[in-house]
Amino acid sequence: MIEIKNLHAEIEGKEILKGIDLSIGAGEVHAIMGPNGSGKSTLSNVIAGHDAYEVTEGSITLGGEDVLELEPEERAALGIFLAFQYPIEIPGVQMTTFLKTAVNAIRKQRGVEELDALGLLKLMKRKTKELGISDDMMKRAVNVGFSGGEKKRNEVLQMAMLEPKFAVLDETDSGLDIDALKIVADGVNALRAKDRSFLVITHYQRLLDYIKPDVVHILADGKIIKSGGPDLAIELEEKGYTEFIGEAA
Amino acid sequence: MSQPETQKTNIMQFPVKSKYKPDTAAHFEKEQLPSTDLLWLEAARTEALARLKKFGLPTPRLERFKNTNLIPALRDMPSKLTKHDVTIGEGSDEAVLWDLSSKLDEEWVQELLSVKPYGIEQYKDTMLWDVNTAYIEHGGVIDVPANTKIEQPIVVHLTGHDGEFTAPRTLIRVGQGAEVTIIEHITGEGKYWRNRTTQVLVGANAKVKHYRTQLESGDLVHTQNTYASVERDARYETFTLGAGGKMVRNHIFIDLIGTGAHCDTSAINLAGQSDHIDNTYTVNHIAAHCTSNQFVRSVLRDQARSVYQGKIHVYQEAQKTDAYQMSNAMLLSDAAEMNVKPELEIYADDVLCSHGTTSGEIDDEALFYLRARGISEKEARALLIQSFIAEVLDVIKDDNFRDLCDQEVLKWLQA
Repeated sequence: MIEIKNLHAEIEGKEILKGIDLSIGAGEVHAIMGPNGSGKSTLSNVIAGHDAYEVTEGSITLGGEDVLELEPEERAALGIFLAFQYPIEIPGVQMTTFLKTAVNAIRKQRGVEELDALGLLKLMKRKTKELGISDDMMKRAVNVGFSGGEKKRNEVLQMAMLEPKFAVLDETDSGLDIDALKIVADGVNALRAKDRSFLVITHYQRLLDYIKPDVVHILADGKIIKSGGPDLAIELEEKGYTEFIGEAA
Repeated sequence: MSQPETQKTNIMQFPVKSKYKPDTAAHFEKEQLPSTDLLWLEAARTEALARLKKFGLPTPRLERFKNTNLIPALRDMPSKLTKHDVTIGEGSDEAVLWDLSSKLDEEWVQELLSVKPYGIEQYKDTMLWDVNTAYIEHGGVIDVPANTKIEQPIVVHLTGHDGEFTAPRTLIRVGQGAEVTIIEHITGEGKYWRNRTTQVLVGANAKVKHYRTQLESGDLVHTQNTYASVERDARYETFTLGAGGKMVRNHIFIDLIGTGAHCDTSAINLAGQSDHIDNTYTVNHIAAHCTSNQFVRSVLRDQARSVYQGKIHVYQEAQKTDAYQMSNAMLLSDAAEMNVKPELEIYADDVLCSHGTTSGEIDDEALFYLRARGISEKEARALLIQSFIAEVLDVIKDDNFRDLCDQEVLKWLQA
């Protein structure tokens, strides 16, 4: 499904990713764990197409299509979704307007008929209900005045509405308490499907108790230094990053 | 350089008076002024003309014109007074609307037209008032009796045409406890100078919403001065949507003269190409317990320039004043320019005055967030610009007018 080969990327001339190889099959959930500064967020931003990062070598393909050539909005239409670590507040743009614009922008690019106001409202109602999102939240401006948990739930809502093929969750668990984490994880689990892959990026093993990964990768200094089953995350949590990376290196 | 006599009287020429100072009032002649049998009006015009001859048109040497140079824009402008094109919108309550000429026998009208220009001693830059007064001839009066609520907004269309010099005078009197919404749509195309003066009297406890759209294009100069005095417990709210305009200067003067008076002055400026839009405010807190807000947002592209000058003057008696001003600009190109001058002059010792100003570009992270959701760059930019100005648009309490503003904003964004 998604193939990342020998990916090198830099920001402002500083190389952050130093050759990432990653292959995620359809329906699989992979987790990437790593210490601060290992390149986790760079990887997610590069996948989504943030123009502050420059890819100097390597490739990313989704279903055989070259992703790196595409603009962020084209990647979204192709089926890539990034759940932001720090969702952006956009004062003055109401949630419903935002979702309507996004859903129809993607449908238009995919050549599917755009939804009318009623169709969107129905879709929104169904998805918000599943995620326990209040109508009041939908009346507010995008992420403005949202709590940390609400912002992350909002990311999952957008994912549910846009139905991506490949979703990257960038530290979706950071700053969440257990209750909020459970709600978010339930939302993600509900979206697991045999034609949808996930890359779950996290600093803590805790998230992986709720979203069970098929494969766990350890990222350090811009490279994947070890890959394995779910047990790898537990081993890492016990030993701590410093010792674990020291051993692996 | 000599000019044929006919041409000299019909377009503005600024012969050089000395090496450094062009005679910007050379062209204003007594013979050009409208004639009248009313002695008081004749006196007002003559006095204004005399001051004009003495001081000339405002130049950037004057503090409040530092960033807005009218002189090059006015050069070769038509100068023969034309009656301005004004129509009344559907649904407006015509019972409170009059032509200025039919009201000249009323004392309050005579008083407003005969007063000395506002702030002449302090600022010495009241030439635009004098231009208007010297040419008083055409105008309108809105007179709302006390304790009357005008349900439908009063809608007025002012249209500029190529080759015009107009000097409309609008007088608005809203009696004690009355309520009214006045909407002025100002449009025009071509080379013209509209030098407009509006005077507003807001009676005690009255509520006045004064909304404007200014959508003009061409080589125009639009100088518009609005003078409002707001009595005890009254509210005066102004909002201006300005999209385009080669040289637009809006100066709103507000005197809060009774305790508990309030004013809001909000504006949105959308400027592109070589547009120049200037919003200048002078808010005088004369009585105690008055509140005022100034809220301006500007979106500038190409080589457009915008000016915001916000003066709050708190008199010694005006204790418990609460005054606020904020100007935010979004610059969409490197060549666009925003000039901002907040100014506080405070003589009372128990007041709350705050001001802030920002100018920036479109937030790259917000842009990326929207694009990552499939929204095209163009659409995402438009959405972020709309969101930037939405907060000011939210002050509008009239749904139809709000819709119209939203449409005009969209039109500007798509242009």
